[in-house]
Amino acid sequence: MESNADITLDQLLQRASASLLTSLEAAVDVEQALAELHRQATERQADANEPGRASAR
Amino acid sequence: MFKATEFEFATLERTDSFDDYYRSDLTTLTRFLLHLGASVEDARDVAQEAMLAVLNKWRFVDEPQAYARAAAKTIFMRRIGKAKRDQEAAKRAWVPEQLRSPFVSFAAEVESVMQMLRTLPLEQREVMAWTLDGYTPSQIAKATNQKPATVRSHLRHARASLKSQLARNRNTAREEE
Repeated sequence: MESNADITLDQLLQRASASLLTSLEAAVDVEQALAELHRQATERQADANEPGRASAR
Repeated sequence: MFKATEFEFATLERTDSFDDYYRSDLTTLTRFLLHLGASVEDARDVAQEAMLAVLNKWRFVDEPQAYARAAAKTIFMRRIGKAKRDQEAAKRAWVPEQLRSPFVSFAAEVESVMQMLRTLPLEQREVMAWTLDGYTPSQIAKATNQKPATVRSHLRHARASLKSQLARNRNTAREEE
């Protein structure tokens, strides 16, 4: 059986974890980050296809 | 298993299923990294790097969330290793004050829990980060290539340490009243 200390710890961790996620959701522009990810992926693919391109920059 | 230097570009074409996964997991992956001990800035950068690794392997990854977390931990550790060679960067990566970034502010309770997590050894903090994302010890063991008994042991020690910190904090608060 869980002790009071275990229950208190679990409740604290759950509250803090949920609050942290809420703060991040408010701060992160996911669509912008996704567009940036695809831009980076395309750029790396171009660098991989054309190795001289990365070192020339 | 994720290898940090692996880049295979055969699967880079945009896929709706990856985009949906990205939208659903980016902030929780960022939170995972904060639980692991990353600064806010590092967590954002490392989460994005880990997502690139997932995109590279998208057609072959059965469990993208677990793959992203394993990749994120590897990238974060590589970054810490680099930071240790640069004392200023290491300080930036580890001090809790860094959490008070202009990018985002957190509730006092969150700051307090993050500070408690940062006192744990890395292996215990990692198990806590997975646990807080809803993974069981068996799932953590599979994702991190550890024995389930080892994961359970880390979890038990982490919880014992957190409970005693909590008790100490409460006693200190009572004495101050």
